[in-house]
Amino acid sequence: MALVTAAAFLYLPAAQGFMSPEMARILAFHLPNAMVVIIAAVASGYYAFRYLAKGRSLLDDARSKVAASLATLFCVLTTVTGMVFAQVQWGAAWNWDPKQTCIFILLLIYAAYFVLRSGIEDPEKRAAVAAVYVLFAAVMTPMLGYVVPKYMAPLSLHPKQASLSPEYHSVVWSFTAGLIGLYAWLHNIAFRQERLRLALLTAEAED
Amino acid sequence: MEPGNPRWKPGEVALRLEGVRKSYGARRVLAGISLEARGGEVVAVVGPNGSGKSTLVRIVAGLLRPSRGEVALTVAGGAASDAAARRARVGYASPDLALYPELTGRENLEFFATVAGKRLSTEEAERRLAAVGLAGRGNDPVSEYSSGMRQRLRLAFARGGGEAPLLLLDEPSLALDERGVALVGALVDEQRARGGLTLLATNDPRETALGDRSIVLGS
Amino acid sequence: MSWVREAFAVFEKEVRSEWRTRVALSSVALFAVGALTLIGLALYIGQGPTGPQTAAALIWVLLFFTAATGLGRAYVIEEERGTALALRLTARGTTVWAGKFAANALLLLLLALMATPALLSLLKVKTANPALLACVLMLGCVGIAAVFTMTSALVAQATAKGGLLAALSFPMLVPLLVAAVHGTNAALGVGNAAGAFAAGLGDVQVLASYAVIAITASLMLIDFVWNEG
Repeated sequence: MALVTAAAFLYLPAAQGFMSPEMARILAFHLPNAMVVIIAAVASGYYAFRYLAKGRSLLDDARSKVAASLATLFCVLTTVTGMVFAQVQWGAAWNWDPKQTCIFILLLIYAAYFVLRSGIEDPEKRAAVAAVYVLFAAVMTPMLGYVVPKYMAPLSLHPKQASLSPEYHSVVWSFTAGLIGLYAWLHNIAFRQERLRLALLTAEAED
Repeated sequence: MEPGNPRWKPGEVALRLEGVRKSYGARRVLAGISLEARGGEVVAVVGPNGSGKSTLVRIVAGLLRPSRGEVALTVAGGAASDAAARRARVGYASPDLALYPELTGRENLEFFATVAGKRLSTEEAERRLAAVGLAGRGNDPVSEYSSGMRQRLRLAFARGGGEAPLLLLDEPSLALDERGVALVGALVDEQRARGGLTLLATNDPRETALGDRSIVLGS
Repeated sequence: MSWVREAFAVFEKEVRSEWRTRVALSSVALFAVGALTLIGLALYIGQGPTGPQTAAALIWVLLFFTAATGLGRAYVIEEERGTALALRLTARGTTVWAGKFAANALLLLLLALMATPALLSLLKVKTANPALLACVLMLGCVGIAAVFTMTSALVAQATAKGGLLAALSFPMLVPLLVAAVHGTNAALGVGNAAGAFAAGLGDVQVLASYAVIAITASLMLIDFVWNEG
C-alpha cells in the first residue's frame, strides 16, 4: 500500500492537459475509492440478504453493518478527493454533477441507516429492520443511477474519454487492488471486533 | 356457551416446548423452558412479575422468536412448528392486546376475522359478543367501553369461534369482577370440553386454580 | 381471492378509523394550508418574477413534506396503541402493507387534488397540458405513498423516531422527485409551448416504473419486518 502511494507521487509523470498537473494525481486516488464504495455497498446488501434468508444469524448482520460503515467511509473519501480535484481543476468544489450527486445521496442513505440502527434497542429487531432497509435501498438506487444522469447529463463534469498516460492506468489499477486489500483487511478486523462483542453479550446472557 | 361436543379427540392436540430461551442482548428473560401438554389440559404458567410469563406466551403464540429452543404444536397429526402456522391456530389475549377504540366492538371482531381470511356474519358476531357478556354493546365504539368490557372483548377476540386448538390467556381476569372471573372459568372449561389446550399465564390464585398443573418461572 | 379481500379490509379499516378520528387528515390539511400560506406570503413580499418552474418545484416540495408529516403515522400508531399485536396475529404482512399503502395513496392524492390548483393560482401559472399534469401527479403520489408506507413500517420499530421518516425516505425518493418535477415542468409548458403530452412521456414512464418497483420491493420485504417468528 505504502509503495503504491509513494509511486503515485514519484513515479507518475505530471499529467498533461490539466490545469494543475501536480494535483491532478489525486485522480489516482479518486477512482479506486469509488470502486471500493461499490464493492462495500454490494457486500452490505449481500450480507443483509443472507441475514434474512439464512437463519437470521447476527453474525451476518454484523458483516452487513461493517460493510455499510466502510462504504460510508470510502464514500466520504471519494467525495473529498473528487471535491479537491474539482476545486483545483474548475474552481468550484460542488457542481451538481450527476455522479457527484449520486454519491452524495448514497452517503445520505448510509447516514440514515446508522441513525435507524441506533434507534432500535432489541438486537434482532434492529438487524431485521436494518437488513430490510439496505435491501429496499438497494432496489431503489439503480433507479437513481439511471434517472439522475439522464436528467442532468448536460451538467456532467465527469470525463467521457480517458486521455491519460499509460502510467496512470497501471497506478490506478494497482491502487485499486491495494485499496480492495485495505477494505478487506478493515472489514475483517471490524467484523472480528463485532463478533467478539456479540460473543461477550451472549456469554453474559448465558450465566 | 356451546354444548360439550369434543372437536378434537384426546391426543390430537399436543404442544411441545424444548429448551426455549430468550435473551435481549445481554439481558436474559427466559432460561431453557421445556414443556409437554396435550389437548384437554390446562397448564398455568406462574411466576413473579418480570419472570418472563408474557414473553413465554408470546413465543408460543408465534409472535416472538426464541433465542434458542423449539416450539411445536401438533393438531391431528399435522405439525405446526413454524410461527405463522401457530399464529393461525392460536387464540391469544393479554393486557397489552389493544383493539381499535374508534371502531365498535362488532366492527373490531369483524375486522380481525376478515383480515385472517375468515368470514364473520353479523349474527355470528353477535353470538360471540353475547358469549362474553357484551350482548347489545356491539354497536358502541370501544372507546366507550369500561376496562372490564374491554377485557371481555379481548376474551371474545381470543375465543373466536372456538376453532383455536390452543388458547393462550395472559392474565385473563384483569379488570374483571366476580362474574367476569366466572366467565374466564367457563371459557377454559369450554376449551377443555372441546379437547383443546389452554395455557394460562397468571399470578392470580383464582386463575391458577383453573389449571391442572403449573410450571413456575423463577427470576 | 382472499388476499384482495383481506387487503381491502385493512384499507377500509384505515379509511374508517381515519374518518372517525381525523388525525392524519387534520395534520395534513393544517400543514398544507400553512405551507401554502407561507408560500403565498413569501412570494408576495418578494415580488420577484415567478414562473412555472417555481410552481413545479414547490408542488413537489409541498407533497413530500406533507407526506412526511401525515403518512408516517400509518404503522407508528399501531405500535403505539398496541393494536399491532392483534394485527400480527391475524393478518399477513403483505395485506396490511397493501391496505395502508392504498389509504396513504388516497390521502396524498386528495391533497394533491386540492393543493395543486391552489398553488397554481397563487403563482398565476397556467397549465399547458392538464392530462399530463394529472398523470404526473397521480403516479408521483403513488410512488411517494409506497416509499413512505414502507419506511414507516421500519421506523415504527424504533424507539426514538424524530425526523427519521423524512431522512430515510428522501434519498430513495430522489429519482421520483427529479422525474416528477421534470414532468410537471413539461405539463406547465416549460420547454413545451405546444403543450404536448409527449414532452412528459419519458417522465411518466419513469414514474410508473418507480411506483411498480417500490410496491413490488415493499411487498417482498415487508414480512421480514412485520413478523418476528
